[in-house]
Amino acid sequence: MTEKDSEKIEKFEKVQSKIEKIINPYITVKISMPEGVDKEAFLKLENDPEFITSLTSQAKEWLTKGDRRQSSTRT
Amino acid sequence: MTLVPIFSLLFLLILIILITGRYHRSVAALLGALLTILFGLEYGLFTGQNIINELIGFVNINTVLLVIGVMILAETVSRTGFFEFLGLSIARAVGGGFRRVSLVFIVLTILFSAVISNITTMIIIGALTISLAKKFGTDPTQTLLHETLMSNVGGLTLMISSIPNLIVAAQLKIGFIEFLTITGPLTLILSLVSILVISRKLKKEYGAEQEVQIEVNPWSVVENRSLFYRAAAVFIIVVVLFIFEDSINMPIGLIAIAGAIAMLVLGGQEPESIFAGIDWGTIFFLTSFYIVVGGLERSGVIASVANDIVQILSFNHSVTSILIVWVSGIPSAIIDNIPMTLTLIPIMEHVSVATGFSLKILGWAIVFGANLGGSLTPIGSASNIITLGIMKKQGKAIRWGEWFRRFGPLVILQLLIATLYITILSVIL
Repeated sequence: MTEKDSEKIEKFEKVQSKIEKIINPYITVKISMPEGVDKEAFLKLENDPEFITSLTSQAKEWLTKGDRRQSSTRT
Repeated sequence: MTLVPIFSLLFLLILIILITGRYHRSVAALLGALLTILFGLEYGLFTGQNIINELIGFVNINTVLLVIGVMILAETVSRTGFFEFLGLSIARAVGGGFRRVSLVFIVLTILFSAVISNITTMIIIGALTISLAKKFGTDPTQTLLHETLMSNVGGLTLMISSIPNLIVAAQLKIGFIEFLTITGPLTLILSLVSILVISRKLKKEYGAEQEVQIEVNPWSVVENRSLFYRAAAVFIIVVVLFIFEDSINMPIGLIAIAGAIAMLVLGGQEPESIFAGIDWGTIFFLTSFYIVVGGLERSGVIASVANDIVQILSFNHSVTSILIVWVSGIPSAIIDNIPMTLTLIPIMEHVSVATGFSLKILGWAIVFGANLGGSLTPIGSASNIITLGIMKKQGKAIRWGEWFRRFGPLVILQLLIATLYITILSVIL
C-alpha cells in the first residue's frame, strides 16, 4: 500500500466517523484517572465491554431522571 | 543500431518498474519520459529545433485538461456531502433487512462510480455499509467486496467514469452521448447479471433477515446546504454541456476546465484544500507516459507491433476485437490500466489504417477490457486496494487465492459478456 493509499484510508476514516455518528450515535467522554487506582487496570477500562455497558445504562438512567426532573419543574 | 530494440527495451524497463511497484507510478513514468528524451536526443528521434514543442505535441492536452477538470468537479461535489446524502436518503427509504440494503448499495456503487472516481465511491459507500452493518449487527465483508467489484462495472458507463474512458473518448473524439449509447447497454446487462449472482450469494451469507428501522436525517451529513445546491447545480450544468459538446463546438477538455473554474468560484470551498485532494500523481503519470508513447511511435515500435498484429491475425475483424478485450483485460489485473490504454490506442490506430477496421470498435474493446479486468485480482484497481485497506482496518484480510475463488468466475463471466457484446458491435456498426 502506497502513501497515497494510506491517505485515502485516512479520508475513509474521517467519512466513516461522520456517518457512524449519524447512524449509530455515540459520544466520546474523557474520564480522568481517579486517585488510588491502578493505572494499567484503569487504562484497560477503555476497551472493557462490561464497563462500557454499565456506562451506557448509567447514561440512560441519567437522561431518564433528567426528563423526570424537567417535567416535575414544569408542574 | 535500429531504434526499435532500444525503445522497446526502454518501454519494457518502465513496465517492469510499474509491475514491481518499486517506485510510484508517476516516478516510473517521469523516468520513462526522461530516458525517452535522452535517447531521443542521442539517436536523432526529434526532427525540429524546438524539442519542447515536439514533446508538447506528444501529449494530448485535451485529455489532460479533461482529467484535471473532472477531478476538481468530483472532489468539490463529494466534499459537500452530496453522495452521503443520497446514500442515507435511499437507505432510509428502502429499509428492510441488510441483504436488501446491500443490494441497493451495490446499485448505488454502480451509479456513483459512473460520475465520481471508484476510490471516492468506495470511501463513501464503504463507510455507509460498515455503519449500517453495525446497526444490523452483521458482518459487512461480502457486501463491501461485491461493491468494489461493481464499482469497476460502473466505471464503464460514462466518458467521465474512469481515466481509460477519458483517454479513449478524447483521443478517438467520441462524444458523451455516443459513449453512453455504446457502454450504457453493456453496463446495464453486466449489472443485471452480476446482481442476480450476487443476490444469491448474499442470501446464503445473510440468511433470514432481521429488519431494522433506519431512523436518520440525511441532511445531517450536509454541513452547508447553499454549497450543496451550488456544487450540485454546477456539476449538472457541466454534464449537460458534455452532452451538447458538438453543438457548442468547444473541446471537451475546455468544458471540463471551465466547469472546474466555475466550481472553484461558486463552490465556496478553499481552493488549496480542493487542490490538495486532487490526484496529481495521476496527472504527472498521464503526461509523462504520453511522452514515452510518443517516443515509441517516433521510433517505429508502435508500427512494428501493429504490423505483427495484422500479420498474425491475417486480418479477421471479430477475432481482433475479441482479442483486444482480453489483451487489455488480463494485464489490467496486474498493471495499471492507464499505460495500457495509452499504449494500445496508437497500436490500434496503425492496425485500423492497415486493415480498414473501425478504430472505434477497437477503442471500445480497450475500454471494456481495461475497466473490467481490474476486478480479477486484489491489486487490479485502486478501489480494490482501498477496500482491502478498509477491511484490514476492520480486522479482515483477503488473500489472492480467496479473492480469485470468490470473484474469478463472476469477473470472467463479465468479460465473456463484454466479448459477446463487442462481437455484436463489430457486426452492426
